[in-house]
Amino acid sequence: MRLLIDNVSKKFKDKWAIKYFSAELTEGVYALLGPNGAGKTTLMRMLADISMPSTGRILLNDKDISLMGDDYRDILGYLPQEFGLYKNFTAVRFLMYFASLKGLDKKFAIDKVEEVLDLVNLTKDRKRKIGTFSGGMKRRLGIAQALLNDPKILIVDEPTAGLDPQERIRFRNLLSEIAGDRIVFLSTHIVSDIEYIAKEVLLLKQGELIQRSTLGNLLEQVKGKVWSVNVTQAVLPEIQRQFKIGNIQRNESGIECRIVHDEKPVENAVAVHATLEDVYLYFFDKGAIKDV
Amino acid sequence: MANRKKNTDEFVDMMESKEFDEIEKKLNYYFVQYPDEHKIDATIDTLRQYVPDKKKQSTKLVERFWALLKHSGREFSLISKSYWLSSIILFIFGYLITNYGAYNPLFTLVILAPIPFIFGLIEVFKGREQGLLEMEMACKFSAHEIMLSRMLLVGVFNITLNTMLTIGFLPQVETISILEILLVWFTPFTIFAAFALWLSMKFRGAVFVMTFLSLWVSFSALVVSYPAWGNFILNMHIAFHFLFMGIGIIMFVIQMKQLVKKYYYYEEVGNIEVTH
Ligand SMILES: Nc1ncnc2c1ncn2[C@@H]1O[C@H](COP(=O)(O)OP(=O)(O)OP(=O)(O)O)[C@@H](O)[C@H]1O
Ligand SMILES: [Mg+2]
Repeated sequence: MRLLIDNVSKKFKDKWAIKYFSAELTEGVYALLGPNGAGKTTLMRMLADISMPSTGRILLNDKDISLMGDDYRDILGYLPQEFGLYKNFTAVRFLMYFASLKGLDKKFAIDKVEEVLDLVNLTKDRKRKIGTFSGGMKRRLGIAQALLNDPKILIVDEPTAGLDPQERIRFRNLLSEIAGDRIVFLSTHIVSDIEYIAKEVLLLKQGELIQRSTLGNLLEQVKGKVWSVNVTQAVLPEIQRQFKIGNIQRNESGIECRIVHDEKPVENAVAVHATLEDVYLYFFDKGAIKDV
Repeated sequence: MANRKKNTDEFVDMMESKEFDEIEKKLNYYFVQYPDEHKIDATIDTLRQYVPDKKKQSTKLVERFWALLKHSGREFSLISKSYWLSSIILFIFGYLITNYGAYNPLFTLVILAPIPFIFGLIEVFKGREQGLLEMEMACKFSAHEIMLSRMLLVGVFNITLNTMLTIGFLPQVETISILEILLVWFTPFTIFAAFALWLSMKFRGAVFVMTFLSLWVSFSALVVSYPAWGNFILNMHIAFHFLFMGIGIIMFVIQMKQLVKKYYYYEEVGNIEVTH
C-alpha cells in the first residue's frame, strides 16, 4: 500500500493553510507534529477526502482518492479533532449506527462493536447514554468509531487530547499493535505520544513540511545543541530573550534553564541529552506540552 | 520576446566554437533515457482514471438510489419518536378543530400541509447540528446521503399525513374534485418546502425554525384573516396551479442538488454550522 501526497496545497481566500506538501506513506505510524495553526487539521481533512486540495492530488496505489469514492471510504477510518455525538444514544447504539453508515453487515457489526468497545476500554459503559460520558470517554468513543471498519488507512486528528495518561498509553499500544498492515496518520502536540511508535515524524510549520525523518534522526540533529545552565533571577529575562528556552526549574543554587541553541549559549552551560521535546523546540520555537 | 532573442544572439556571439565543442563533449556523458514500456503504461494507467466513464456512473446512480432506499429504513430509528408523534397529533387536532369549528377544510390543509416537513428538516440536519458531520462525511454512506434518506422518510410521512387529512375532509368538500383538493395543498407545499430547505442550509436549526415559523404564522394569518387571499389560492385556475406546482418542484429539486453539492465536501459547509 502506498499513499502518495503529491504537491498538495490548500488555500483559504489568500491564506495558504497547506503549501505544496508532498510525501509518500507506506504501512506504519506517521506522526504529524506542528504548533497551533500549522495546518495539521487541514491536511488531514484532505487525506480523509472530505476536503478538496487547491492544488495537487492524493493517490492511493496510483488511484486518485477523490475519484475512488466508496472504495476509499471503505478502507478509511477518520477521527476529527472536534466532533459531537448523539447524546441520547448509548455507546452501543451509536456504534451500531455508524457501522451501518460504513456499510457493515448487521450480524458482523454486533461482534465488531463489542470488539472496538473493548479496544478503547468502554465495555462496561456500553449501555450508558453518551450524554453522561466524560470528555475523554467521548474521545475514545470517537476512536472506536474510526476503527469499526478495520481501516487500512487510519487518520486521527489529536486523538489523545483529553485522555488521561493511562488511556493515552493504552491508545499508543493500540496503534502500534494495529499499524503493521495499515497506514496510521496522527497529529499531536504531545511529543511523548509518538516517542515509541512513530515510524516517521513529519514536522509541519505554517503549512509547509520542514522535516520528514525518523525520530532517531531528528534527535541526532539536535544532539549537542541542548544545554543546561544555572542562572540567577536577574539574568533570566535576558536569557529568555536571546535563546529558545525549554524547561525552567528553580533549585537551591538558582534557576536551571534548558536552552536549545546551535552553539554554547553561555560560558558555564553544559551539554545535555536531547529529547523529542528539544526537537520540537528547536524546529518550532515554542515549547511542547510535556506530559506522561 | 525580441529582447530574449537578442540575448541569445549575444550569448552565441560570446561563445567560441571551441567552447561549444567542449560543452557537447561534456553533455555526451549524460544520458537521457527513453522511459521503458512499463513506465509509460503505468503513467497511462494513472491518467486513465480521470477519463469519466458514463456507463459506470449511471449504473452507480441506480445502485446508490437503492442503497438510499434501503438505508432509509435504518435512519427511521434515528428520527426522534416525538417528531412522528407530534406531527400526527397536530394533524388530528387540525382535523377536529376544522370539523367542530366549521372552518373551511381547504384552509386547514394549506396551512398544515408543509409543517411536518419543516420540522422534519431539523431531524434531517441533526448530524450537522450535533457536530457529527465530519465523521459522517468520511463514512461510506456519506453525510449528504444520510440527509437525503432522512428527507425521503420525512417527505413520504408528510405526504401520507396530508393525503389522509384530504380523505378525512372529502365528505365536507364535495363541490370540487379530489385532484383540485390535492393541488390546493400540494402547490404551496412544494414552494414552502423548497424555501425551507434553502433556509435550513443557510442557518442552524434554532434560527431556521424561528425564521420559518414566523413566516409561516404570517402566511397562515393572512390566509385566515383575509379570506379573499385564501380564496384566491383556492379558486386559482387549474392551469396556474400546475404552473406554480411546476415551479415549486423545480425549486425543490434545485435545492436538493445544492444540498448534495454542499455536503459533499467539508469546506462548502461554512463555519456557522460546525460549532457543537
Ligand atoms: N475554513 C477555513 N477558512 C479560513 N481559514 C482556515 C479555515 N480552516 C483553517 N483555516 C486556517 O488555516 C490554518 C491552519 O489551520 P488548521 O486547523 O489546519 O491548523 P492545525 O495545525 O490543525 O491547528 P491546531 O493545532 O490548533 O489544531 C490556520 O491559520 C487557520 O486559521
Ligand atoms: Mg487541528
